Amino acid sequence: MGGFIFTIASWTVSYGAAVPSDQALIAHVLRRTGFGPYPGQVETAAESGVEATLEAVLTAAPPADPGPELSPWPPADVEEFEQQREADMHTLMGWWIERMLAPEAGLAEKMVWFWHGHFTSSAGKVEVPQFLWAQQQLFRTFALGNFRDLAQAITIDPAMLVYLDGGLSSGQDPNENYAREVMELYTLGQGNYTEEDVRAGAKSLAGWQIDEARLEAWFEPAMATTETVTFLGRTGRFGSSDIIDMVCDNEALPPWISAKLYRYFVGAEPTPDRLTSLAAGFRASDLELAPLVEEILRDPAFLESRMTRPKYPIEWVNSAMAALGSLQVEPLGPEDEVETDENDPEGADDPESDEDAAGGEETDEPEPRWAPAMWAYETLSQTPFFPPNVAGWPEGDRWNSAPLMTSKSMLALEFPALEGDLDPRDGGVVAAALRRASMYEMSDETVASLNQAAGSIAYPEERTNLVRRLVLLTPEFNLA
Amino acid sequence: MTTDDALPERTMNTPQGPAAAPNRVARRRFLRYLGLGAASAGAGAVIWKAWPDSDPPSTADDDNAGATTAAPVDQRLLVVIEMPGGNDGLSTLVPYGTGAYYDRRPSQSVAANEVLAIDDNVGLHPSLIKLADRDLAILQGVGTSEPDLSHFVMFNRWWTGDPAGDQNYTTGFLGRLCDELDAGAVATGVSLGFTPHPTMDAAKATTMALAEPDALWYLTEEEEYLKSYRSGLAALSSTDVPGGDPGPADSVRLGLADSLAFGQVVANLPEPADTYPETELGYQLALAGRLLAAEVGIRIIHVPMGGDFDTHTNHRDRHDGLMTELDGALDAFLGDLQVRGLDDKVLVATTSEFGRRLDENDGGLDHGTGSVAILAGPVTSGLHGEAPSLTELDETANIVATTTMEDYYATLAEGWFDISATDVLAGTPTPVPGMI
Repeated sequence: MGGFIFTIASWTVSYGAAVPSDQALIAHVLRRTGFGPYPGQVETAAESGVEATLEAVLTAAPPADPGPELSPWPPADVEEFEQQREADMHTLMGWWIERMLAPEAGLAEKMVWFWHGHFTSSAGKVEVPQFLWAQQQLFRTFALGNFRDLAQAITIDPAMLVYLDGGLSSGQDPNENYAREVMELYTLGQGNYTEEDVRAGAKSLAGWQIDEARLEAWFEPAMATTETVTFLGRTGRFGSSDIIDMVCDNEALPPWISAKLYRYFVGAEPTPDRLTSLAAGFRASDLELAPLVEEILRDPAFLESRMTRPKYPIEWVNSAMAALGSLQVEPLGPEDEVETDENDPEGADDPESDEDAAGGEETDEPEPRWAPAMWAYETLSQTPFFPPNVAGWPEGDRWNSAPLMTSKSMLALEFPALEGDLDPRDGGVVAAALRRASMYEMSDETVASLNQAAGSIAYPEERTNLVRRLVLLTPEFNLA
Repeated sequence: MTTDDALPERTMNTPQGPAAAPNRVARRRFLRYLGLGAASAGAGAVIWKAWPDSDPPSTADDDNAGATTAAPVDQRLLVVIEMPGGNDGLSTLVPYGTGAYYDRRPSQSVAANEVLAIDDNVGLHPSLIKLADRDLAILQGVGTSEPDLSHFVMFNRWWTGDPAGDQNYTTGFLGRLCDELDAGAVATGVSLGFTPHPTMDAAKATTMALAEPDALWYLTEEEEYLKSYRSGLAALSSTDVPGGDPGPADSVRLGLADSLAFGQVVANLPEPADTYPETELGYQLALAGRLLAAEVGIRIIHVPMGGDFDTHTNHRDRHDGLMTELDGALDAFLGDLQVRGLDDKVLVATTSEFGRRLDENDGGLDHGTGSVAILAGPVTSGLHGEAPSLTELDETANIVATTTMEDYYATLAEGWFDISATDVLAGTPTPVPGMI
């Protein structure tokens, strides 16, 4: 990643420019459609231009990956499973984090994160890593596929049957949890269904049992209902796929999903007209996600809405580690002596801290590359697989609240940083640090603050170190 | 599970061992606060009736004489001690007067003559001996009307003040209280931990997390690099909000400013008291005492205990230890508040995500419902709420709560802070009368 020499004229960071440069626009595109950008990616993409970058983002095939290596399934006995569970969760978590940390992580990966926060399930309640992996595979398969297919599949997904109690539901004693949440949060929104619909839906959705061995659900007619119900205005004897079809056919569905995806990518509410046209397109395609996302990304509002929403912790952590080159720093191994030095009085690089970072157990292994990311996500209250509740990750300014800025002030000091990859001779240390962090649109105010900080340190290495970490706390870096 | 003729008959008169003198002393003082004399007892002989009567100690010489009058509402402070894992209410407030308790817990019960008796029916866990000397309100049968037995689910409900789990709040219950109390303080609420706690998530008030004074080393240490770092953060921060409505960039700047200001508070905390036991809760409450004494506008502190109340195995030993930790640390805290002149301002209240099952299971207790809450400070001492039934249980053979979470929380909101319960909780909860 290092070793680029830039000519100042072409690659200057624009300070408070009225018209954003290509680099600023491309950085924005990559930031919103991925988890980076990584140093150099904006420069490379700028050779082809904004339009070509957008095209590449929309057409990139997700990198092939065989998936995490979990323990053999099904386990021989309960005890074996108990022993393996923690290790498997660790493996699964690490695999996913590495996918999001990879420079190649693109739109498909960003959509997996979206679905994880939309069709929510939490590892706090779903304690089988294999169930969580099976669910995530649905998100990967249908990331930009057909919404109806995804909704049908997730309704009978074992992790979801656990999380929203579908596995406990029967026609005679229906559990309303999934019926309610699928309409309230996943598809229609409040006000577009009634309590009768929840009850009717719960009855008709029942019957699915979790086949633990095969990691799928199977239908047991004895647990289902044969009752005639009225659901969303239609009366009949329905099965679960009928219920989901009716939900998907409902006119409230296209605007609900379109608005949420618009907010995710554009970082602002769509205008009523825009929402109407997006919803109409989504319906016309029979709920195909790729055209909807493309329309959102090609909306002029997308390129205009730069730094309009807080970065989610998953975005802040990953882009911070990308900027610092954290993944390229060799993790400390058990054989490394840790000496306290004046630059690290608290032993922030102490491998003892691996204990919590790497899943709560002391091991003789060097900590995984992703361990600092995991610790950071937890510190910032956004741990993958642990959404706070069925509504998923909240939106809004809370992600840059005082306590989280406090935590980020610490994390910015603790992430490992690659040394020697930043050439301050090219336009000065602040310009170099900003380029490294793919920040091409900064306010004069922020740049002045960074220059002031740079001027306050005599030693060049310390100055570089300080400035590149301070960049992570700038308002601009904390916004997507 | 058991039949009456299978077990030896148990009555209140069955001694389990010699009565220990300290129990008598603690009971006498506690009873005095209830307005009852040392000789009080209901109908039926109980073991401690055999001890010689003596007059209550003179109130003039007693440090703990009488209940404290609460400070004015706008000065009041709340400390919530959370007992994670599910605190067994029946071991905390022991229903030694109810046969069913001993019937269902042949090995995991607290002996009648060990409890710090409050009345004929119930008494405190023997380890709560220092606290028994203080003003304590014990709220009985606290739980939810739609119990769930999952830690994950119930933590979330208690933290967000969502008894039925249907509100999907983005704020915590204590966070919402902080929003009501918000006066622009550097921190209105603090949760003692490394990461911001969901129960303190607020919509507008600033709430912070702090595990220990040194946790904010990067905001407090005098080392040169860190001073430059902080200088940089200060330059990036701002308390100026153009037009009064912060945009996304302004929020970052404000967050940084608040962060640095909080760092300053932590760097300049009043001296710690040296009267605390060296236990985890002792360290936490010592820090709470300093934070409150700093008088920077912190109104609520959340103290999640590190101890694990999820006593599926080895219940008696583990619970005894937890009660000992609670007793020593909370007693020291209450004393610290007196020394700092804060005792009329601070209400301490405990929470736990659920209780434990009435029946024991192989040396331990499984997840249950209905626990107790302990309140200390300017409270009306004694038992509050209704004792839950140990014979009329729910369909999972668990205790039916007699005080709901929302009514308990409403008591804290309205009874203590004069905040309308409907501003912070759904539905129309009713505060428990006469406690605060």
